[in-house]
Amino acid sequence: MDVELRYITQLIGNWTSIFVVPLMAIIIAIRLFREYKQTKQINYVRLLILCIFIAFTWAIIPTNMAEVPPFNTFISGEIIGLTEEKINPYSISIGLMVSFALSLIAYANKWEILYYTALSFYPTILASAILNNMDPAFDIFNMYYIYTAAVIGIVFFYVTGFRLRDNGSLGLGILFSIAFGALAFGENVIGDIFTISIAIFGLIFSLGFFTPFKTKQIEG
Amino acid sequence: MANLMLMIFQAAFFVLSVIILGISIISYRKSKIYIDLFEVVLYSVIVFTAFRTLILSHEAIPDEINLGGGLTINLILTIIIIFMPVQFLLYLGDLRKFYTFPTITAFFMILNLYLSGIILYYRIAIIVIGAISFAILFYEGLKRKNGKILSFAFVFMYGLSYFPINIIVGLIFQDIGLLMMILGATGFLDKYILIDEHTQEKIHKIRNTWIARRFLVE
Repeated sequence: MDVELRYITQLIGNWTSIFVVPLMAIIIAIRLFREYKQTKQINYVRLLILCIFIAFTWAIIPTNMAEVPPFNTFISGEIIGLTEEKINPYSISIGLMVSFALSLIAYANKWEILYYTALSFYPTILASAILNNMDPAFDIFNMYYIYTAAVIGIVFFYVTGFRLRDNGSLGLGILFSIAFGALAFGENVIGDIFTISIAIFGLIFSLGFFTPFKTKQIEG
Repeated sequence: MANLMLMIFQAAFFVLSVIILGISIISYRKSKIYIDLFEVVLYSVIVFTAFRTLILSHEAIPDEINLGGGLTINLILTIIIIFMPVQFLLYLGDLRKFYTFPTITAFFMILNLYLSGIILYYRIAIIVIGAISFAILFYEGLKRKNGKILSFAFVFMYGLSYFPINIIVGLIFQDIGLLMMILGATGFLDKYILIDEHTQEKIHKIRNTWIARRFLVE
């Protein structure tokens, strides 16, 4: 019974995220493009959110496909990587995601000195690993960077969200918290519920319905 | 005899670097501007390296202390010396968004040297980065007619002397580098070499006005 339930939740969780996560990226991209057409200016906050969602899509689609039939027969989990313990396409996408998140926090808070810090730090880890023939020491370094940056990212998303009354930061904080929960609970029914929650909340967020802080219209 | 000569040279370097550090500290205490603070930090590192070179010439002290992989104290010092002008360059251009780049690059260079013995990438990177900062600072120093900026360019030459090159060439590099830094720190370059005619003209006019007014009052 438990095995069957787990199979069903895993199937729902994986398929929902396979469809919804890229959809979130597309919605953000459309909104960014529309805004650019109207104002002729790039909204960098939205662009960074798009980058986060693209990295998220890159992380979630291959890993989820490797777990569901019929794709699990020809997508090898070993090649795409299923954990962040080693440098592989999956951990690189997570690393980029947290780096974009840190840049977004710096940008939202106008910490000019830190705008490109995370975005330069992470590629340097990868470049160093390549120059040192993929030394296992860099796998550990990569993993610690991902966890540390993720925790800092979540904390500062909440801080920025409440401090600046910014819906985007708060929304991303909640989204990252759910994703972190899914990662922490691992491969079981609770983990699957968290995965489904990512898709549901992500869709609400990207469609612009997550607005706990209302903006006041000034009349006259 | 040759060793004694070398030791005298190194002792002279040490004394000179202490003098420059003293001048830069006085200058910073007077002005309280970042450009002078950069000088204080840089010259502190140079004093330390000069002192280290001096004591290393004693046979009882080991020549190189290896910290792991290819990382030695000498290499850490060279990285600091080479990256200080780069940081200064970013400060000069007010490129605040890139302020952390030298620190990140230096950190990874040290990490890579610690994990592996390969120092080829390090040497290539340090020469390329150092040469670029030398060229830009040299150009900016001449353009702005600022002796301090010009003298900062020559830090690259000083840093090069810590590379495994011919000992005489190294000494010449060190000589030129240190000499230019002294000239920059003491204000000699500003006063006698990079004379800003426009500013001089202004000063001259002000002086004349002052004399004229005093003459009228009297």
